[in-house]
Amino acid sequence: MSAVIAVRGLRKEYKVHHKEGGFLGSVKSLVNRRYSTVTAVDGVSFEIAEGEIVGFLGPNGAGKTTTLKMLAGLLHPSGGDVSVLGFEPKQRHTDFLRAITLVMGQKQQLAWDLAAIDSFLLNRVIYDIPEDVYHRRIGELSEMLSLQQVLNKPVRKLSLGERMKCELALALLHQPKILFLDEPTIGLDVNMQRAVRDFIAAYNDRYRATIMLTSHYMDDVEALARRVMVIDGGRIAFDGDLHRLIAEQAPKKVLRLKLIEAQPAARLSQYAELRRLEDLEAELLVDRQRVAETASRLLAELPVADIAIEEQPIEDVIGALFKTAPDRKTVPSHQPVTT
Amino acid sequence: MRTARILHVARIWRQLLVQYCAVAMAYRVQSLIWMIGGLMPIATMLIWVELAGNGSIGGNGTSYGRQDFAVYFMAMYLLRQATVMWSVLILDRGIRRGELAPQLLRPVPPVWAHMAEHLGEIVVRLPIILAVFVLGLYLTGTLGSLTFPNVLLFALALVGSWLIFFHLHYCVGLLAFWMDGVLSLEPLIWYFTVILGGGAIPIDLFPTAIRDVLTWLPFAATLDFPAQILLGKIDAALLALGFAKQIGWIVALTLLRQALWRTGLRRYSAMGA
Repeated sequence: MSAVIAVRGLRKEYKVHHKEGGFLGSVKSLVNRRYSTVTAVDGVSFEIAEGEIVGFLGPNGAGKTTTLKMLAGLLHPSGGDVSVLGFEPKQRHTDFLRAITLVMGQKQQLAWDLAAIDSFLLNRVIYDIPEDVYHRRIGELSEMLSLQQVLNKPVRKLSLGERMKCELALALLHQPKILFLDEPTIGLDVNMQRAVRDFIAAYNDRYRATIMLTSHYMDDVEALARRVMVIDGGRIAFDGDLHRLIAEQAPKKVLRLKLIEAQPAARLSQYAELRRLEDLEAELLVDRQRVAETASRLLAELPVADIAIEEQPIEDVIGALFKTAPDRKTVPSHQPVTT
Repeated sequence: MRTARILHVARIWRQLLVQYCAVAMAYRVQSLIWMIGGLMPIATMLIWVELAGNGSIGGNGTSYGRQDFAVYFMAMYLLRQATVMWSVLILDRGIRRGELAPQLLRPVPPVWAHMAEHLGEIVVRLPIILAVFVLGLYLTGTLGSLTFPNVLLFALALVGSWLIFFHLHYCVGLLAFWMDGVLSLEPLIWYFTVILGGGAIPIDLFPTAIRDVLTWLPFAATLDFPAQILLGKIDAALLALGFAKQIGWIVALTLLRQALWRTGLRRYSAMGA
């Protein structure tokens, strides 16, 4: 399948002004300004096929948002090549802008002092959407995101969740082929997060849109992305199937126990690394190859009411990957999987 | 194809104006406060009228009587009110705090929205400004001195003034791509405009050598020149030269704006972008 996004050796460097704190620092800065160059994205390469949903993960300051902004044409790269639908994003060609969208959790397209529908009307004209198509899309988006009661309210009166859903709907009104979603569920409650996730999945399914998603909520990534890219220190630390990431980066599984009688921590630690112990519930981290044997021993030797074998939470896996990422040679990078 | 494109652009502009008129309506109290703050030319007029008494100020064919001062400064009031600009603030926020990003994602130049934002404000405040303008002329007994061709030409020059001011402020605002304290330059434009453009003293009343320099600056082209038209003090040759200067400044500042935008966008890399 051909790639709709192709990135080769992408780099972005920022010049950062350093200033010491306090009044003296301000005076020194006035006389002698010191700058340093920060490499936010350091030679990133990947390809994404049409219709893929890719989770883009990394700690704060890893280079995720900078990469998305370069792909959306907001930032000019310091080096490397980027092609999105055959366009060079920094040229901001009209046809390119009509085919993409970038949703950023904190930045808004909605006019703050007007009803949300006014911003939809403006985008209808800007993207030259015929009247009947516009009404059909508004209907679809309202239905998928439950916006019927929201669109005619002033934006400043909307809750954060309502506003985020409106932002998302507005960003998709022109039916873009490529979606860059930067923390689309940030600040939302659990129900609203789920609604937005379901909507993104449905949009991908219905329009075969290609989606790159960053999120600090692993539920978003697990629910939507088969493929993940992990970026740290501006470099890709992992690129591949989410489940393979867990299998390769998590050599242990979690044995979750419900006990009939409480057991001391020292006793449980004889079997494996004790991850958690609360009254009658315990979690042990066990090497994958010793899971079956350890489970049998626990059942035979301890008063166990119930036992479950689970993968390590993805947060832990990714967290462990961030810790090992500085030693790049030890972290495998994989060919992208296509759906 | 070309006609379709023109019609599309016209529809975008209509919608932008509708939207920003609605925004201006939402901020009507702010508009009113701005209008009260814009009464300075009227205060200046009262001072000059008092100074002129029953005689005139100036010489060499450029003397101003009380009626001249009344028309000149009522024109100043209208010009200042119709050319209020806040694009430095918009661009400072947009560039340094990243508020420009959503506009950059749309397939229309962000400057269109910024222009429409200013025009929407004018549409909302225009009825009040015009009422104050006409009332001021009436109360000073100068309403009858205006001629229809002069009013028409004044309106045309006002459009030129607006375009020069907009681009001047926009160019200064775009410096936010390179510097942090761009807002501090805004009062500077205001001082230049008032002092060098004829906002406090008609350019004719400056010493000849200074006056000859000032008339070539954009400030005089935006304030003094349209006011002179309304006064009926300039002949056809000076009128043509005045409009030529306005066009020259509009072209020069538009080219500068485009160059600053193109160069600046490459630097648009603030962490908040």
